[in-house]
Amino acid sequence: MRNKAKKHQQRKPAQAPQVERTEPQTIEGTAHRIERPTTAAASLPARLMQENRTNSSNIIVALTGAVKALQGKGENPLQQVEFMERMLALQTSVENRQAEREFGAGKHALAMELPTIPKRHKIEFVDKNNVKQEREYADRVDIESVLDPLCRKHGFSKEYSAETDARGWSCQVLTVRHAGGHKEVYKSPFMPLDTSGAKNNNQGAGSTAEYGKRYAVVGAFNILGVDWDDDGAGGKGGGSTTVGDKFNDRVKSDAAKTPAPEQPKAETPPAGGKLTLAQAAVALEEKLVAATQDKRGAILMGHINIIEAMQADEKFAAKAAELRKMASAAPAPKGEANAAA
Amino acid sequence: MGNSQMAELLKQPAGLPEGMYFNRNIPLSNEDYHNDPALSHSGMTKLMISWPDYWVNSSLNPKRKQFNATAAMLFGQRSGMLLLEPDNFYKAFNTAGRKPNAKSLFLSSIEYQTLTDSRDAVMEMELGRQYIAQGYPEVSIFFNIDGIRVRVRIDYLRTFGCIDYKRIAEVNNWAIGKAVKNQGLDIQQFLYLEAVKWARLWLAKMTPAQLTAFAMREGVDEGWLKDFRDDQDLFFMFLFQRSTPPYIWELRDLEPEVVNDGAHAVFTAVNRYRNGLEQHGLGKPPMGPKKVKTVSQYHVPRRDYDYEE
Repeated sequence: MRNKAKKHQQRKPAQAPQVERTEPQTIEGTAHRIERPTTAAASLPARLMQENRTNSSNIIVALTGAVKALQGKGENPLQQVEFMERMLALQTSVENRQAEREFGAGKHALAMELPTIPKRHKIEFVDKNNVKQEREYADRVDIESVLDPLCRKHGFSKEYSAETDARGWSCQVLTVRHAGGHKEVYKSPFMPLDTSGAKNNNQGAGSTAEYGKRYAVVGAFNILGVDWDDDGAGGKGGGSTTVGDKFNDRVKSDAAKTPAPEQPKAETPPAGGKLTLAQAAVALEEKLVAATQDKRGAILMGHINIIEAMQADEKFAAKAAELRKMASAAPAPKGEANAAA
Repeated sequence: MGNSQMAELLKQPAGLPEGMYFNRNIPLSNEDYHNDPALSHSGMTKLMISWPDYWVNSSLNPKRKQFNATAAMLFGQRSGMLLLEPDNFYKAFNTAGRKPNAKSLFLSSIEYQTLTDSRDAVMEMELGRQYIAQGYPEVSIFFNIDGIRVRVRIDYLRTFGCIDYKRIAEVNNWAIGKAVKNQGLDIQQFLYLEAVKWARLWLAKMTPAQLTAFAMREGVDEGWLKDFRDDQDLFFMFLFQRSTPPYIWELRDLEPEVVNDGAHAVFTAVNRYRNGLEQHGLGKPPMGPKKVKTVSQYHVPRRDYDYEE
């Protein structure tokens, strides 16, 4: 259906969308107003806002109806406040949940369209080994110039604010709101004033804020291909950070320990594999002897393939029968056990 | 283990005793491993859907149809065998240029060529050779979580963790992500690492004489066993290889958040298994409902009206 609709739209590209806003139709005689879909080709944010207004009006209509009904019966509506509060709380919860789902769906749709951000900036720095290096990165303008149109398309808006801790370090708080009503908050790490270069305090504050905003937006929308520029402080710490890197480190260091890595060889069983079967038989007997009588049956069943192989071999057939007997022997009654003792 | 846990163990279908099985001196074939009723990661993935889904595909179902592998699956199994345990591969298959064995299956030269191409794609690289070395292939571990018997079969066990080999149609992010969800690879990673932790503790409880006897019984190097027991690292790595030429491959680890989801699923599945056994026993569970349920509006996708009529 959707494909058909898309094809239909593609066939008439020149035609301007006819937005026909009609009054929502209702089904008379019901407590809730049930809207029929309009033919309007509304944008997603507009549609969500329209639906939220409708959702909010649902409870008002329902409550008004309830109050009228109670008045008609001669009851005091104020006595039913608790009931109405519960309904209101329920409605709020429903709307919040719905808004949260819209937020998630919108963010998913945005992520599906989000391209890799081009790195348009280059920074030169001297690393810890005193070697001049260059690194390309994308700054916040690069990121947001790609991100903002997609945010608008999918009904998101962004607001930045700042927080400061006791040390005087600041972090940027990014509030992402969705047209459906849900919002989520993302924070950058707390950072000290950036006084690198020849910045005065005001310039430093601006630079720190810019870093913070960039970190917050990259985290909020999981943006890839940006590279965390650290203004030349790259290389500090170094070493492996991810599990994958650590795994590779271990593989390489272990390979270095043993110059000729060689697969450990199994003991070569003689023709017919009788040594293997003998070892298996001994191991199984050890297990049966060590186990209590009530568990021996289960252990034997777990090794039934070994028993079958032993039965097929005449040298082991008697041993197999013995093991079966050991596993199937009924536990001695308590009285007999005591008498024997 | 407490008495109650032991009682739960006894209610479960019997299988192999807890321990490590290296599939060397005492053969534990794939079929034997899969026929054991202990809970596996794929069983857990089914349990996350429903008890009947688990039961029908498990060895509890007496009418379970023996799985007929497709040509692609056979190719995957064989390429994995050639890569990870070449000795066993050449025992199981007759290939061009080798003395044939009447008991082994004959492979056409074309099929053998594709298998070797697939293996060479990994082993021609130094990193690939370093990965598939100094460990043991197809190691099974049977242990318990909260008294429920579980099992894992590790494709390649190193002293510091596990390598799991997966054949996959594509090796891009989306295809791999889909495989993680559909095949429960997050569940697998968590479960396998739990198994390795359990195995190290299990080996640590052995006396030196018992460890020597165990190494002899399984045909593994005792020094390696000690290294494995004492290693402080615990890693897991997936080796995804594309199932079509030129058989490109990637090494992937899962983000901690993904493994967290797997951990939750493991414990949920263990609880569901316990509840399922209590409610339905080992027999066929009812496939129908006991009560009527209502379709919630939250489970109905929103209808899209954004098109012109």
